[in-house]
Amino acid sequence: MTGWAITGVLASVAYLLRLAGVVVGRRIELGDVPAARLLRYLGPAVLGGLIAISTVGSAGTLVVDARLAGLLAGVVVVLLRAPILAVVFVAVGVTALVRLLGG
Amino acid sequence: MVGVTVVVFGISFGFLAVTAGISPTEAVVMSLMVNNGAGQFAAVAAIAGGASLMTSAVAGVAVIGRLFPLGIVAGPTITGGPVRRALAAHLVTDPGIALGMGPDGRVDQRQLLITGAVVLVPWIGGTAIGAWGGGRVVDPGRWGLDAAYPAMFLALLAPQLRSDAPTRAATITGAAVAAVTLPVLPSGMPIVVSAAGAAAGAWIVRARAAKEEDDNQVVGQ
Repeated sequence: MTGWAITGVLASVAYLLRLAGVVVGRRIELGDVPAARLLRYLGPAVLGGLIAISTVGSAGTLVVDARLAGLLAGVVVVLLRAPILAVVFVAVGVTALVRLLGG
Repeated sequence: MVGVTVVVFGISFGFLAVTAGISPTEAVVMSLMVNNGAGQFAAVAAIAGGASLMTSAVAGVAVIGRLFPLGIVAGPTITGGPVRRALAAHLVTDPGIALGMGPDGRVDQRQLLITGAVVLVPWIGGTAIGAWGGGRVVDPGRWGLDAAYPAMFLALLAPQLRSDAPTRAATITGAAVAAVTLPVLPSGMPIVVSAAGAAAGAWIVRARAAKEEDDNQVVGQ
């Protein structure tokens, strides 16, 4: 049930945004309006929040554990400009390793 | 190469969606109809984290908000009548724009649409594999799989993070706000307030523009 509701909301919003963008784009060039700027950085901000919550969050509190090590390893991989898949594999691998070592 | 990456992400999405309690069919349909990995991951991650339906939807919507500016970039290049435009709109994707963009910032329509269509197939396929294939109960903790979520978000943001300082500011601020409010606010709220990070990104853009103006004025004298 949850899945269908979420799908319905996301699909409609996604499509409307795409369509609205395409229609608007055919008429004007996107100016550097403050609202447009905010919109552009809304995604990264929320993704940043999700990164934080899924790294140090646990049932409503902050828990620093092996996941943080994995994520930091992932950051290093990003800085090294390695492919995207490597980021995920390294993060997962390091997390598992740290847990194995008793972290 | 893009196809392979998409399939792997698709598999992860399908797997994690099922772990979050979404049925495989729901997950596959979602991939077909939403066609935006980042947004789908955001919503499903929120659900997995215990957020309410409303909050998860908000999180997903916040992330897919960027489809609007993407649509605007793609808009001028899409030819044809309203029906064609309506159909083409669904195929506006990140890789489509990225691969279709020429040095002058204009997007090639064929490249955009072909990429969009081509990417949809492995995305749905991957989701199906992950959703139905990952049915075996695997303890995510033992295999470090719970680090997959944040790593995935990081990976999706990586190209922008590397090149764009406002994006870095927005992401870091969003992360900081969420982390700080996590022990304090009720479940699901930290995600909503992390949106405030967008202001940080916009602020940097404005500060830079102001600085450029100052520099120009000095040079002009």
